[in-house]
Amino acid sequence: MPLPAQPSPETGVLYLGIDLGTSRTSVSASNGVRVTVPSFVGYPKDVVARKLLKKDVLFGDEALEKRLSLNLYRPLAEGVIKSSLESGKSNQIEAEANMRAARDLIAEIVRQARPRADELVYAVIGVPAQASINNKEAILEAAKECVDSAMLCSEPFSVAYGLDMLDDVLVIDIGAGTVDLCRMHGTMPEDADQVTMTTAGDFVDDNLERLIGERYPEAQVTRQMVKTMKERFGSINDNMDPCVVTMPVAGKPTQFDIKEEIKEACAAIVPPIVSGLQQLIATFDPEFQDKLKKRVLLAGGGSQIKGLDTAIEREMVERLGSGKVIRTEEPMYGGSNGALKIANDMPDEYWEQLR
Amino acid sequence: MSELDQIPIKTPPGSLFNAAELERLLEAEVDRARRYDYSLCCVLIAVDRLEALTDLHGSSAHDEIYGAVERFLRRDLRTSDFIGTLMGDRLLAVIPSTSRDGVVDVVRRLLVGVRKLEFTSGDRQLRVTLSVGLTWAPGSELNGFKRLLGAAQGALGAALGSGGDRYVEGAFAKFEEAPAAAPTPAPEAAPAPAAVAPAPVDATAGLDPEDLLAAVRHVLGEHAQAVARMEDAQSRPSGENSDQVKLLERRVQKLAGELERYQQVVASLIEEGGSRDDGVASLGKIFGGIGQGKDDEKRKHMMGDIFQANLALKQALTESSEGGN
Repeated sequence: MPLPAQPSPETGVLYLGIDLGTSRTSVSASNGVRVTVPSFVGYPKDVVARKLLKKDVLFGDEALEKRLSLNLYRPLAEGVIKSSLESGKSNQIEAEANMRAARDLIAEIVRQARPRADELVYAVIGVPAQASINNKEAILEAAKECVDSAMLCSEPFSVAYGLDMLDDVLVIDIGAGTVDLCRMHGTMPEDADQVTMTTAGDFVDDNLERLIGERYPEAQVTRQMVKTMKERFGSINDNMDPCVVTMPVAGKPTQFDIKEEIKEACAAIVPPIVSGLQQLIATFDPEFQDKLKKRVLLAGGGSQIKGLDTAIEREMVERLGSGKVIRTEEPMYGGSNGALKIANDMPDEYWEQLR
Repeated sequence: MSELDQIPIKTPPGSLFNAAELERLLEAEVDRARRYDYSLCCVLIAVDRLEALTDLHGSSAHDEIYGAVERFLRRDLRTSDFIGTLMGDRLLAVIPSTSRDGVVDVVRRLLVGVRKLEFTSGDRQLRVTLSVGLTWAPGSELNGFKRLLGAAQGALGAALGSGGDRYVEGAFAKFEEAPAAAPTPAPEAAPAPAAVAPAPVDATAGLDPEDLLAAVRHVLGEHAQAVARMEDAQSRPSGENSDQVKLLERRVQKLAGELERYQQVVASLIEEGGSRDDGVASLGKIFGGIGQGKDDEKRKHMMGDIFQANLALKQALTESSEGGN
């Protein structure tokens, strides 16, 4: 049964807002469904694995859990499909596999939004602010088989749009692959209003893995373990509690305190973010610069690092004289909620023209 | 079987008395009140939307809220008042030897006090309200505890049915054959309808927008699953599972009714527009679309810009695929 305020219930359209992320993919649908799936796609390695798993393709946590029996893909990097990043014939097979995985991931997230069989599916997909034309084409290509009509939109813009913050706001959207900054000033942001950086969640993971390796060389740790540690303890607060984790040493589970490593790894994203903010503020109308500094919106999965808002504020005060950072209430769904709102607000004739 | 065998009293953990003994004590209290001619008041209390909050925030939230309300009652009432817990998360207070007006004052104090209790679930702050049904009777008219409790139960149903956060006083029938008068609601927080008949409990009463959204999603999910299971069962040969199909059909029907009710609540919230508090406005934002905000023109331009950019992208994609062919 459709909810009453769906824009066009009589046409049987399900609107989706999709945040296609390097680490997680979220969807908000006009039927009320909201789902997040880790962006992993796995295919059974051989016939035996296929028989054991009883599935042709696995997604998210299930794929991660069964990864030893799977060819596992994380089809996105730096917020875009890997196939569009790589060039050269040697990468052709890998690129095609990532493209297929991206297509399957989008199909899965659409399926999880539970469209009725007779419903048209119109989706707005968030992409990094400065994704290249090739990147965008690849995402659109992957999406076109799963939905009836799709549009792409800058991720930080969709976050701001979803919160109705259209004027004098600086958005920081921290994902796993990219940090996107966007200056909102009442009109559609242009290239000059947006900055994309790769010092994001994966960058923190790289740092943390290196720091743990340097301090505890005897400990065995995988990338997935590092990611889990970051998500559990991520903080740059001054008064952090000990972060005790268990890592095997020569096969024996051993406890280590990685508080300092966590703090250092997470704090490393602050200076590049403030540099990006500085670039956007410095090129803005001088009379309105102070207003921008006072409305900095922190969104995305990376915004869950404790103390990040305060640390950015502190760095802004030091380098820009002042700063006020606000966290969004829903870091995981800010992008997809905003994309859904754009999908809702988009006139039907536009959707029709893009079918 | 005595009348009191039916009273669903729960034995509190650590209590010295079992349920049967507690029931016997309450009956003895009624006898004593009748003999010495002092009044008795039965107060039945429910925490509004406790079930919905438990669904949304887990059983630990339930225990915390229920426990805090119970502690509040124990603190606020006299040691000579009896406080017990009933099945179905109801609390029972039996207040002896207090005037009718005195009991009403006590209940009003409870309603106001519980509104001030604060709970947290994750990052969210939760507040709760009470629905109270009470029956007061002078000692000379008492004729069994079950009758007193039955009248209070009817009054509690009326309080819950009229939106919660209020007390309703039920009329006490001295003789079995005397028909009970309709309970009269006494609004506490907001004006109540002029006359309130006992009505089905509204699970959405007092839900804030975030909880309402979660509840809508929950029911939508349940409904979709039930429909899928029903379709699956229907697709199998007939006769093999007709009972299961019937059961699922009933469930789907029930969930559809529930969704319809949510639909009305959401529609009324959207109708109220953007002048409400932030939470309600954000509900409107998610479902409402263009047509409610002050920046509509700005948004329309933005939609046009996004469309143009995507149209250009689509053309580039078409050209490159044609070039490839």
